[in-house]
Amino acid sequence: MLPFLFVTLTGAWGQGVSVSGKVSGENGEALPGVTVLLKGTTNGTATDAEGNYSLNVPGGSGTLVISFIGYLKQEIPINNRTTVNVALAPDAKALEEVVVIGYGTQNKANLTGSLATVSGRTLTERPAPNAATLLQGRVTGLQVTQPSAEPGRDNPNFLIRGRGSFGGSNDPLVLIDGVTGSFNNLSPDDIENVTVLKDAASASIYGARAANGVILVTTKKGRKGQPVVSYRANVARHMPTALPDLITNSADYMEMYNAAAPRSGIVFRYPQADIDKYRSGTDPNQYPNFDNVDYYVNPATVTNHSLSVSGGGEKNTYNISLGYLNQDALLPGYNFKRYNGLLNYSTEISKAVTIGTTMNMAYKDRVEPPFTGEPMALTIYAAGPLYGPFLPDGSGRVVSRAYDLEGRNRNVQEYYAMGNQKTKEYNLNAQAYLDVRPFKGLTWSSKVALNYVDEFYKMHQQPYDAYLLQEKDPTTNDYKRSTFGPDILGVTDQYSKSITPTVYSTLTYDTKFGENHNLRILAGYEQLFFRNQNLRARRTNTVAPILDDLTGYLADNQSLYFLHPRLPSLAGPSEWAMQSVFSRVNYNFKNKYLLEANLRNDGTSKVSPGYRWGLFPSVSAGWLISEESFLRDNINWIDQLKLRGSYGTLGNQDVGTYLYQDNLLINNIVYPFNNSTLTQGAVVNVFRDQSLRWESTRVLDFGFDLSLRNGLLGVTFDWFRKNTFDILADQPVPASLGLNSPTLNDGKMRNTGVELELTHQNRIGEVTYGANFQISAAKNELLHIRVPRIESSIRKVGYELDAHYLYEWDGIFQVEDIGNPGVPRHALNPTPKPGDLKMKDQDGDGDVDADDRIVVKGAYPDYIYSFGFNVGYKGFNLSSFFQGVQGLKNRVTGWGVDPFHQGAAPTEKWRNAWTPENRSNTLPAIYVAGYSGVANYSGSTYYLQDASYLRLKNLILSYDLPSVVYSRIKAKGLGVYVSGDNLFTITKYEGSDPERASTTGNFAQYPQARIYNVGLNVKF
Amino acid sequence: MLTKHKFTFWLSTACLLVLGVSCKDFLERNPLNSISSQIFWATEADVQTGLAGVYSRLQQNFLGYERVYLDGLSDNAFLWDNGNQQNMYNMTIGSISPALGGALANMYSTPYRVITSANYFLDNVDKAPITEAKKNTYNAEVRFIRALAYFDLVQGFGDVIIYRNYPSKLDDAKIAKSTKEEVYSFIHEDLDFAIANLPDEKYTGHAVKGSAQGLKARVLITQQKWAEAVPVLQQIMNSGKFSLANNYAGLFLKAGQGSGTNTNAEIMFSTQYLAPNNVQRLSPGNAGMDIELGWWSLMQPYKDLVDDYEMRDGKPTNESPLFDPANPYANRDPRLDLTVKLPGEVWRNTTGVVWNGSYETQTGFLMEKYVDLSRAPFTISTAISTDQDYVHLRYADVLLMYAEAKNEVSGPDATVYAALNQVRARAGINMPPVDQAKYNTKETLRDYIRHERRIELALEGQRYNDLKRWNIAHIKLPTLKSPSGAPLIFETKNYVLPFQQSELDNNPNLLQNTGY
Repeated sequence: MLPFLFVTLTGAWGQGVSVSGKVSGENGEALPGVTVLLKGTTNGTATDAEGNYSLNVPGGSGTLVISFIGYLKQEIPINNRTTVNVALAPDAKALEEVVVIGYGTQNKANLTGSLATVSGRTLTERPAPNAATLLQGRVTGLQVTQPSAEPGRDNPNFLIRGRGSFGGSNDPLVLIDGVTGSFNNLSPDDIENVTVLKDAASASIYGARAANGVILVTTKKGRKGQPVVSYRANVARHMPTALPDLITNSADYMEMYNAAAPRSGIVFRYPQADIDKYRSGTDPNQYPNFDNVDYYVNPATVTNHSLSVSGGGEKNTYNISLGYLNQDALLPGYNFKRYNGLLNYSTEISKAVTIGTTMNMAYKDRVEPPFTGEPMALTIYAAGPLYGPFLPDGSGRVVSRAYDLEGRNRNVQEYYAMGNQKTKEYNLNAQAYLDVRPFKGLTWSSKVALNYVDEFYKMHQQPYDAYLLQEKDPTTNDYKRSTFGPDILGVTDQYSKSITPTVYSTLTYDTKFGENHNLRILAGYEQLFFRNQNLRARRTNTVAPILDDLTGYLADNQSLYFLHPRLPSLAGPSEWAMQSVFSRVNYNFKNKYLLEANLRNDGTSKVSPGYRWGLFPSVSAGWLISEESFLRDNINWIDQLKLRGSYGTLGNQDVGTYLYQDNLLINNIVYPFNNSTLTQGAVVNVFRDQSLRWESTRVLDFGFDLSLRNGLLGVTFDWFRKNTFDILADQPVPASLGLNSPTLNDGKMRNTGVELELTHQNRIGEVTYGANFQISAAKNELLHIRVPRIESSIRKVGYELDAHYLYEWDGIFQVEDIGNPGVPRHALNPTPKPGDLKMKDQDGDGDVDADDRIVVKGAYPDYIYSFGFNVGYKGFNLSSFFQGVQGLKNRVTGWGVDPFHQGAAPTEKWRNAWTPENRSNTLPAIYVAGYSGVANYSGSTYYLQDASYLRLKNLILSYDLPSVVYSRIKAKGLGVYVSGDNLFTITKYEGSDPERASTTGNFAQYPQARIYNVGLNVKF
Repeated sequence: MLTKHKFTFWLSTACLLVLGVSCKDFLERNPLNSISSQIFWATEADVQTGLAGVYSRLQQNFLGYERVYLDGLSDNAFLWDNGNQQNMYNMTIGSISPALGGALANMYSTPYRVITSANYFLDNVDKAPITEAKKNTYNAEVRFIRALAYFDLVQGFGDVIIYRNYPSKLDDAKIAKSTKEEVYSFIHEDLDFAIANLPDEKYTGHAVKGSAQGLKARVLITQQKWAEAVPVLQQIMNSGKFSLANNYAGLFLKAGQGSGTNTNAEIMFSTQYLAPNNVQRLSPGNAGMDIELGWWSLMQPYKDLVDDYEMRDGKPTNESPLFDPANPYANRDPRLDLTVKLPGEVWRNTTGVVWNGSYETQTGFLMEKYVDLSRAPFTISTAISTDQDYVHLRYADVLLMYAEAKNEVSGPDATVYAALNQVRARAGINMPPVDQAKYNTKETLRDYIRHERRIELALEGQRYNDLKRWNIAHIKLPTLKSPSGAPLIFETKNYVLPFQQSELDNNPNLLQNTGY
C-alpha cells in the first residue's frame, strides 16, 4: 500500500519565492506523495504523481524537510535556490518495522522474542543459484553450511543455535507463506523477506515442530499502484575455490609407489622399463602425464532470468513472476534447470472480507553422471597420471587404468560410458486464504494449503568395455579388457510423490482499554497431514541398451523396489498427521512494558495415544527503556533501547514416523523353501517402547536492542541457554537383544551461546555508507546419555556432543625410536617401522592405548561471524560481505590425503616425505593407503585439519543508470552490476574448500564454487 | 488449564468448524506396509509366514553363504579385506579384542537375531488355531534353528546368555550369561524336541528329522561325547533318506543342489537362496559368492591346505611316486582341483569363454568351490543371479563324524574304515581306500580322519571350529604366515572370543570372557 498520509498545508505568506523540484527514490524513480515542509512552519506540500512539487517559500530561505514513510527524512537548506531536487534513501529500519512472525505480523518495536529478519533485497545481492545458501552470514545464530557447489545438490544445512538433538533432526522448520515448503525450491527473486525465530517466545507458537528454530519465508506480494514489470538477468561463471595439488608426473608417481608398496606389504611394482618410458616422454600418448583434475574440473556457466509483473487496483493486488535457472557443473555430464512460477493475488470482496491465493511452482530438471558428489570427486583423484580417458589408438575406447594390479577405482571416463541419471522434480505450494474483519479489532484468518512434490528419477546404465593401457591380451595382442562394468545395469525408474495438506484458522482481537493498556489476543487451530508413496522398477535385458525407457527392455529379471545403496533413498510409504490449537496474548502498557505469552497444544500421530498431546508454553517480556521519560528527555541520541527476556518450551517431532507401533516387518522378508518359490515371511525387527513422549527443548533468552542517532549505531545482543531433554534417540542395546535398538526418550543436552549484531549507517553529502558485523557462538554440552558412545568421536556426559576424541599425534618414528624403551609402545602398531606415525602417551604409562585418546576441540566452531561494508555514491553502490567460521576442525582421510588410495596420486608435499635421510617429523614415510603404520591411527590428530576460514563471500558493484538513459527505453529503472562470490578464502585447510557437509569422512568432495557474475535489472 | 475432556470437546468443535468433518481418527496413522502384531497369528498362513521369517534370518552373515569365510580364520585360507565382514584377517594376526568390530560383532549378533525371531515365534504360535501336531512340527523347525544359532554362539564365545523367551521389556535382555554346559543342555533340549517332532523324510528346504540328528551329532562330537554321538549318526545312516552325491562340485552350485523333490540327497540342511529376488547379496553392494570369490578373490587358500591333498594313489605328496615337483598339481586327489583354482588353471564358462578377471591372488591359489563359472564373466550384474545355497550339513559330514566318533569309542573298526572309504570313493572322486595297515591305531587313524575331514569339507566354514574342538588351533595356526609375512596368532584365550565392549556397556550383568 502506498501511504497517502500527508496533509496538504498551504500558508498565506504573501510574497514568496516558489521553490520546486523533483523527489526521487534511490533508483531515480519518481516518488509521489512525499511531504515537503518548510522547517519550523506548517507550510508544506506533497509531490504529485511525477514526484514534482512546488512550494512558496517566503524570502526564499529556510530549510526543506522532506519526509516519506519508508525513507530516511532529509533536511535541505534552500540557500536561495528555486529548484531543489531530492533523492531519498530508503530507511532500512523503517522497512523492517513490521516483522512477520508466527501467524501474523508485529511491529518490530513491540517484539519481545529473539528473532531476526533479512530482506529479499539483501539476499539477492548475492546472485548464487540456491536461495537457501543466501542466508549464510546474514542472521546471527544461524549456521549455514553449504555441502558443495554441485548443481541441485547444494542445499545447505541450517543449524540454529547449535545442535539440539542426537536422535531427531536438527533442521529448523521452514515455512513458506505459513506452510511447509522447501527453501531450496524458491527463486531468490521471489523472496520478500525471511524471518528466523530463534528463541522459545517467538517459536513456541509452532510448538512441537519448533525445537530447532523456525524460518519463515514470505514471498513477494503485489502493491497497489501502476503495474511494475521487473526483469533481471544474471550470467555467472563458476570456478572451483580450491583443488588438491596432486602429482601429475607419471614417472615420479610410479617411483613413489614403488617406494611405498613394500612398506605396505604390496607385491605389485611398476616395471622400471615402463617408468623409463614414462620418464622419457618420447611417446606421450602411450605414456602420458595426465592431469585428471585439470581435465575434468572446468569453469561452468550459470544463467538466471527472472521476470515479474506486480501491481494492483483499488481492491486487489497481484504479483506474477517467472524464474529460470540453467546451471552447468564444474564437471562434465551435468545440467540443472529450475523453472519457477509464482502467483500472489488478493482482492477485497467487501470492506470486511479479503480473499487471496498463492501459487508457488517449481520444476527442477537434473541430468547427472551415474555417480555424483563425493564418489565423483574421489574417482577423479583416484585416477593417477598414468592414463587418460581414452586409448591412444584413436578407437575411442575407454581406458580403465594402466596396469591390472595397480590401485584402482573406475576411471572417470567409465562413468560417462556407463550412462547417466535424471531427476525431474515438480513442486507445488498452493494456498487460498480468507480474512474477515467483522468489526474493528477482530480478524478471522483462515488458510487452506497444499504442498505437493512429485519426483521422477531414472538411472540408466549400459554395458561398456574398458581397457588396460599398458597390458595386452596374449590371445588377441590387443589392449587387455578390464573393467568393473556398470553397477546398476539397465533402467531403474522411480516415481515418488508426497502431499502435505495444511489447514489453519486464527482469530485475532486487538483492543485498547483505558488510556495505556494495549491487548492483542490470538487463538487458532491448525492441522496438517503428510503422505508419501513411491514405486521403483528395474529392467536389465534389452537388445538396445541405448534405450532408456523401461518398455524397451525385456520383462525377465525385472524387479520392483530394487534396493541399491547408490540409488536415492526409497522411503517406505508413510503417513503422519498433526493437530494443534494455539494461542498468543500480547499486552503492553504505554508501549513501554511489553508482555507476551504463547501456548500451543500439539497432537501427533507419531506418538502413542496415551502420550500424544504435548503442551508448549512460553512467556516473554520487554522493557522499552528509551520510552521512559528519564531517558527520552535527557539523552536524545538514543533512538531505542529495549531489554528483552523470554523462557519457554519447544518440541521436536521430526523423528521417525512409526516409532511406537509394535509391528511385524514383511517388506523384503522372504525365504525360498525348496528352492522353488519365495514364501512371504514376517519378523519383528525393532524393540518398541509404547510410552514415547515428545522430545522437548527449554530456551531461556535475554537480550537487548539499541539504536543510536537514526542508524548511526545499531546493536542487538542475545544470550541464550537451550536445554533439550527427553531426547528421542535410538538407544544402544546389547546385540544379544536380537533386535534393532528402540527409540526411547533418554538424553539431555545443553547449548549456551551469545549473538551480537552491530550495524552502522550514515550519509556524508551524497555518499551513503554502512557497515555491519555479526558474531554468534554456541557451546554444546551433553548432560545425560544412557550409554556413552566412544569412538573417534565421543558422546559422553560433560563433553560436546560427538567431540573429536583422538590420539594426539606426536611426530614420526625415527630410526632411533625403534626399540627404544623411552618411546611408548603403540598398541595399534606394536612393531612400528621408522617413518610411522608416533602418538603421545597421555597417561605416561608407557603404552599408547585407547586410554590415551583425548577430547580435541574443533567438532564445532568457536564462533561464526560475518561483516560487510557498503558505500553508495549517486547511482554507484559497492558492497562487500565477508563471512567466516573459527575453530572448526575437519578430520579427513582417503583420496587426496592418503597417498595411493585406490591409486590416488599423492599431493606435491609428499615429495618431502620421511626417509632415513630426510628425517621429517611432519610427514610419515610414503605409504600405500591402508598401511597399518598410518591407517591404524586414522583416529588421531594427524588427520585433523584446521577448517577455520574467513572469506570474501561477496563483492558487488552496481550502478543505477540515470533516468535520462532509461527513460529513453521507456523504463522506470535500469541497473547493472558485477559481483563475485567466494572471491578469496583465508584458511589453513589444504587442497580443498574448508566448508563441507561433515567434519569427518573422505577428504574428496565435489568443489565449492567461486562465482563471477554480471547482471542487469530493468523496471518498466 | 483446560481439562482433557473440555479440550477434546474444543478440538472437535474446531474440527467441525474448519473442516465440517469429525477429527476422531485424524491422528490414527499406522504403517502402510507392515502388520500389527495384534492381528497377526490368526491363521495357519500367519504361522507359516512367521516361520518363513525365522528361516529368513539364516541368510544373514555367518549363517548364510558368508559362513565359508570362517575358513579364513583357519589354516585353510587367507581372507582378503572384506567390506561386509571386516577385520577377519586382523583376527588371525592377534587383533582379537573387545574393541574389534566387524565380523567379530556379527559372529555374536547374528545368532541372537535368529534366536529372538525364534522366541517370538514360539511365544506367539499358541494364539493360532492349528492342531497340536502341526504346532509341534512348526515348533520343532523353529527350535532346530534356535539350536543351530546357540551352537554357533557356544562354539564362538563359550558361556553365553540364554534367552528362553521374547523380551517383554528392555531389561529382560540385560541378564547374566549361563555356563557352556547349560547352553549345551539347552541346545539338546531343542534338538531332542526337534528330532521327536520333525518329519522323517528327505530334506528339501524345511528342517527334517535328519537335519536335527546331524546337528545333534555335531554338537555331541564338539562336546566329545563320542559314545552318545555314534547311535545318533547310525540312525541317520540307517534311515536311507540321505546319500552321497555323485558330483562333488555340483553340491555347491545351484544346478547340483536341485529343488523340491530333486534336491540333492546329500544335503541335510542348507540356507537357501533363489534368484532373482532372493539372492545372496544386493545390499550393501552387489556381491555374493561368484563375485566375492571368483572375481574379487576374497578367499585365497593357503599352500598349507593345498599340500595336504593326497596324490591320486592315496599317498601324501612326499611319499607318492606320482608326485612331480615340476608339475605339482597333476595326479592329485580330484577334490583339489574342484576346491581350489590352481596356478596355471584356466577358468572358462560353459560356452568356453575364458574368465581371467579375478584379482591377483597373494597365496597363489583361489577358491573354486562354490564359484559358479557358468555365470562368468563376472560383473556387478552377476549378483542378481548368484543364489547358491550354503550347505550347513551334508551326508559326507555324517560319515566323517561317524568315523571320528566311532574311532574314539572303539578304535579302528570295519565301520570306521567303511565310512571313510565311502566318502573317498564318491563317484567322480574315486580315491583309493584308507591304508588300513598304515592307519591302524586309534591315534594314527584319528589324525587321518582329521585330515580327510579337512580335505572333504575344505573351505566350507567347518575348519575353524574343528581346529578349536580338537584343541590344536593354538599349535597349528602359528606355523603359518600370511602373504605379507605376518605369523598367524592364536593364543589359548582365543578358544573363546571376547564380547564386544558395547555389550558390556549395555548389559552390566554380562561378564567378559577370561583373558580379555
